[in-house]
Amino acid sequence: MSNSRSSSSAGEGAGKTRTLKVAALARVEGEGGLHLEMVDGQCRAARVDIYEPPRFYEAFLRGRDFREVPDITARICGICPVAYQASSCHALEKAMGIFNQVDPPLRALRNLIYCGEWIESHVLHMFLLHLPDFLGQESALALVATHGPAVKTALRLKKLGNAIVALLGGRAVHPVGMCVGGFHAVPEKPACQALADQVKPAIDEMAELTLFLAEKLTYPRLERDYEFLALCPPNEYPMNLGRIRSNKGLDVDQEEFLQSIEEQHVAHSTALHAEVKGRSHYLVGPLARLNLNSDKLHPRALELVPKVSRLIDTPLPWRNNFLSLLARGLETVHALALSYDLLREYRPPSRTVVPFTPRAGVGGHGTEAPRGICWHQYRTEADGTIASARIVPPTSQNLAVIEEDLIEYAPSLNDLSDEVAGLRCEHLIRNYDPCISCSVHFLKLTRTFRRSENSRP
Amino acid sequence: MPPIEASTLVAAFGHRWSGDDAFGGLVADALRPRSVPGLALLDLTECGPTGLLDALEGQVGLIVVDAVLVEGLDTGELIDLDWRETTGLAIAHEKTCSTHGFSVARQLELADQLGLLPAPVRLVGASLQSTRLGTSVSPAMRRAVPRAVARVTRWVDRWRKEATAVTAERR
Repeated sequence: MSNSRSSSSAGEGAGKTRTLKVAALARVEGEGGLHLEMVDGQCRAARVDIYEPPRFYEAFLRGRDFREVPDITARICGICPVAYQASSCHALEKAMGIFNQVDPPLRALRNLIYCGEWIESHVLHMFLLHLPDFLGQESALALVATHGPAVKTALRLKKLGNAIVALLGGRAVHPVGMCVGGFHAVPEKPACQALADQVKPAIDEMAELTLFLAEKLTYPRLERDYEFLALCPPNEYPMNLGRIRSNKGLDVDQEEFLQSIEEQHVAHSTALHAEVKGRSHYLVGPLARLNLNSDKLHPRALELVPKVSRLIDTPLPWRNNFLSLLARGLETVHALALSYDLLREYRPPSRTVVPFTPRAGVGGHGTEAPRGICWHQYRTEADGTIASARIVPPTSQNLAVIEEDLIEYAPSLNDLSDEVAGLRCEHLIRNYDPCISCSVHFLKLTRTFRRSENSRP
Repeated sequence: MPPIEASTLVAAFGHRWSGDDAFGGLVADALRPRSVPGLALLDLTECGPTGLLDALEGQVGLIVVDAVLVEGLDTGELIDLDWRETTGLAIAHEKTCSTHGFSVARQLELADQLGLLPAPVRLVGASLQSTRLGTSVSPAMRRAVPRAVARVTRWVDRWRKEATAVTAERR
């Protein structure tokens, strides 16, 4: 993957422009473009140019049997397939009228498989993709020389996450275990206990790594008045259930999500942008979840919050998305601790799936993918055929706020070389862990610099 | 207690819907029913390649199977190299399937630096014609599959016997 950065400038005095190009963003998936328009040193516009072709899932799901939807939508993403399966299952359970009949043990298993996905996704991003930015290194390869044990630990934790997903899903990637109404099959208790024994020591390991990251890294400062959006269940940290809330007053049932936000086409992107209707763009993901639900973290993670806050001298809520690295760390501790409890306490449920008869209906539901709310809505015919589908992935919801971050951040990069400026922009974008399978690709950076007619030379 | 059989990890890469990039998957499909002693098959063709790092522990050898882009070779011509001799080859998979920027080559390099790679690591590949999304694998690549299967099973058998001999000597 080439990653060339180049610049050009033209004009003198009031009409001087400078163009910076970065060919491709490293350590996020795919390719795309970023253009910054600088006027008198301020960023007037940041444009994330997305040219990934549309994937047409919402279109080709029409006419499919509803039972196929979880496995089809899982292929939207190789890193977060559980999120797509969970969201589609919950939405279709609402359409079929059985949402409230799914047994608590089956809900617990859905939380467990979700823990596995959070662990493998967060750890992969934190240690192999994002951490090199904070250490001024080009890649995880360079990280091995200086932080080899941490990288090895991270790989072992990621493998544990995959093992949890495989236990319930049959395999780690594009798992096939979840279905509308429950699961096709559930594990035996000895397998769960054996995995619990592997997970137990990992909790402390991840806690130590999180404290290490809080203590040893320097976090760029970019504090913004975000509207954070996340699920907010009453008694647990959000994964599968909860009302949709924000820190600026949004508080709606899941079914009202589409009425509360607006997705917009923008000329420079094949991915939609999203905003809270009549208000602002919003941010989803670990920072939003943590800020809105920190009191519901597992006690093993909750006890770390004051320690981490003290180390970075910033109490919650955190408004700097460079701290998303630490939010992921805390969530990974949470997921490991919760999965240990669920594995240790596991008893095979009395039934693996709720029986039902397909019917015509509509259902909408979102779950918390590693990167944020992943929301699905389906309308079904009387025989269970999909009449329409709507999928709102987390990464596209964050695209607009990424551009806003860049507008605010870009002036601090004026005096930097194109190479360094491009790297800093990429670092900012990696705060969001953009998942290109779900959305689109990054990143080619261009900047134009000019002076306004009123400015002095 | 019978000795635990040493195994070679055969990791098949590629994208099944991208023309000749399906080569790795076709080799995996041919190997699967054969139950070759000492062979542990890892089919990574339906997703990104990040699973390779998880599967390396305890293996006595690694064979990467993939389509490769090499100037001067005919389509379907077989390549069988020590991985460390592959400088200059573009593994086709990197162009058509990337999960969060973590390519095949990157995983191998990372595994090497972490000391996770087994001693013998080979690339068994075939020279590709096209990896265009939505196209079928070319006939020449399809004809290369049995030759690749034979090459892989030969390496697996050789390394299994070597590992078994070493284990016997230590006893």
